[in-house]
Amino acid sequence: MSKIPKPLAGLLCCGLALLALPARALEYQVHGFAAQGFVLSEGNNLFGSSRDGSFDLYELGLNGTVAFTPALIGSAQVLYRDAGATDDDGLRLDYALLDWQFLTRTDGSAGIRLGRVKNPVGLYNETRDVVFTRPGILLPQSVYFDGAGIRGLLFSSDGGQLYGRRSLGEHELSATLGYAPGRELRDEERRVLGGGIPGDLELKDFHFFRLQDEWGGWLASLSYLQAGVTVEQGGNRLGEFDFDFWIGSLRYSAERYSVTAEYLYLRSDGNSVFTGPFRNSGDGGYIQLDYRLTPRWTPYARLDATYSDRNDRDGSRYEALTGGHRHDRFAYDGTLGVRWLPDEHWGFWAEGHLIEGGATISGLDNAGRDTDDHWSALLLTAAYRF
Amino acid sequence: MTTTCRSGTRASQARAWIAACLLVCLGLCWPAAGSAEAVAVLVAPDHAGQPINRALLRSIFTMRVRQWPDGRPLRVFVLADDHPLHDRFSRELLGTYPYVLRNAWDRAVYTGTGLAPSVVSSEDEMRRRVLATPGAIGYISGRGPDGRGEIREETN
Repeated sequence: MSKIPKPLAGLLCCGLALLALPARALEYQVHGFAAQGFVLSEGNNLFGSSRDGSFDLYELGLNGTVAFTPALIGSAQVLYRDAGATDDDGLRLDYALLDWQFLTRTDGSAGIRLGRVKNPVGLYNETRDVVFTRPGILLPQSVYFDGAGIRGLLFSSDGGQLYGRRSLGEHELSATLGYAPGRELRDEERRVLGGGIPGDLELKDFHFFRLQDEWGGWLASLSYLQAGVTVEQGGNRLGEFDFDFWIGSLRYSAERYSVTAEYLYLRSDGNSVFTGPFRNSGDGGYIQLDYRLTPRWTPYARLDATYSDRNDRDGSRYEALTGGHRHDRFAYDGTLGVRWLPDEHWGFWAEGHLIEGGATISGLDNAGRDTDDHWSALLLTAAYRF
Repeated sequence: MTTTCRSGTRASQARAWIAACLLVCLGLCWPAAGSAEAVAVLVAPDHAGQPINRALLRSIFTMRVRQWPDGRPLRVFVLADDHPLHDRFSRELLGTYPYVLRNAWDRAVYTGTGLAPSVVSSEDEMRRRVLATPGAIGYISGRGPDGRGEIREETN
């Protein structure tokens, strides 16, 4: 389980102290979920040794939320997750936070969250481990990459968020601002990042915001996240990497169908003794159509495109410069799937992926083997929640 | 010995409460006049006078606010996702669909930023629990603007 940092522990103690105080009954809720996946792929491994069939994809979560006062709630979730070699972290404290909604008016509200909080970046980052809240079994890899080893860094952070919401006519505007102080990377985070980097890796201060507008059946949002890593050894700085993520999201929800599209622009900038100075801009995006045949059966289709370098979309320049394989620099993923929710507790998913290009292949799940740039995968998941 | 008397009081009290606390549906009812049935918001007696506009209603039923503007706790009651009245309420009063609400609740519950609403099994239970719970809000069916709707009649 992840170690709980001191400020977070203090916060939890405050929460527990508050719990001991009141003479009236506290309102609380407990929820949980469990999902088991199966992956069968051809060409490359996805979440374990999936070319032979892999059950190495499961998620179990249990959370509790207590309302200390109408304005102040405390909430925590423990998560046990495994996703091939990209996530071996096992049991972890997923979030643990206090949320104080200090302002509620008829036309808006505002509040602050402190602790280990989920980062609401894009439409799905904050709930990416709960299959019931995802757009399918596999998240669109152009925006929510699982294989690159940085999901944990983007997913949640030990820090604070300010949030607010305001209604203007038919529009409902909301904003979230987040900050987390820098910290040293945990061993597991280092391992999935590539492992080989020597020295001390430290995550820089972390900032993000998301602006959102909802009107009619529409939802539009813009997210920005800034993160960085420094590498030091014996007091010498060996390198520094900075990342800027921009995500634009748009969704239209109608009675029978919804259309969702998101675009990611990722700029990275760095200098190190291993790489020399570099600068790169990658991007990608997807569009997904969900069609509710009945409230219980929803087929969906998605087209997803990822480019490691937006100025070299077919990878030819990369191939000429480095001798590497140009197919590793992009990925196109066509997905067809179906979701069946027979009742309020159970959910079943099945989806097939046809993929061209290697940009989204997980290096960890395919270590030591030649990857294939035309590949496919079938994913199945059964899940329960309460 | 006073059983009869008491239950009589209770019945008339209940009527008075329903009269007192109902509602706020005002102009939010079925836009199509003469429609068979309307759906109306039902609030607990302690917030009977609370002005509720569509924006606040949406914030409440998407579980984005947890307290009334006066700071007192809010308790949200809904019927099951596939209940026809829930469907009508989502469309007519919130301008959305049950599945969109469900997504919003899942988001709140699995990020620790909110509570899920309490699900009741019938309209009767809805009426009972909302009237008995301080700060509660829910919805019930009522007649269209042209009919002699119980709610309209007693509200105004």
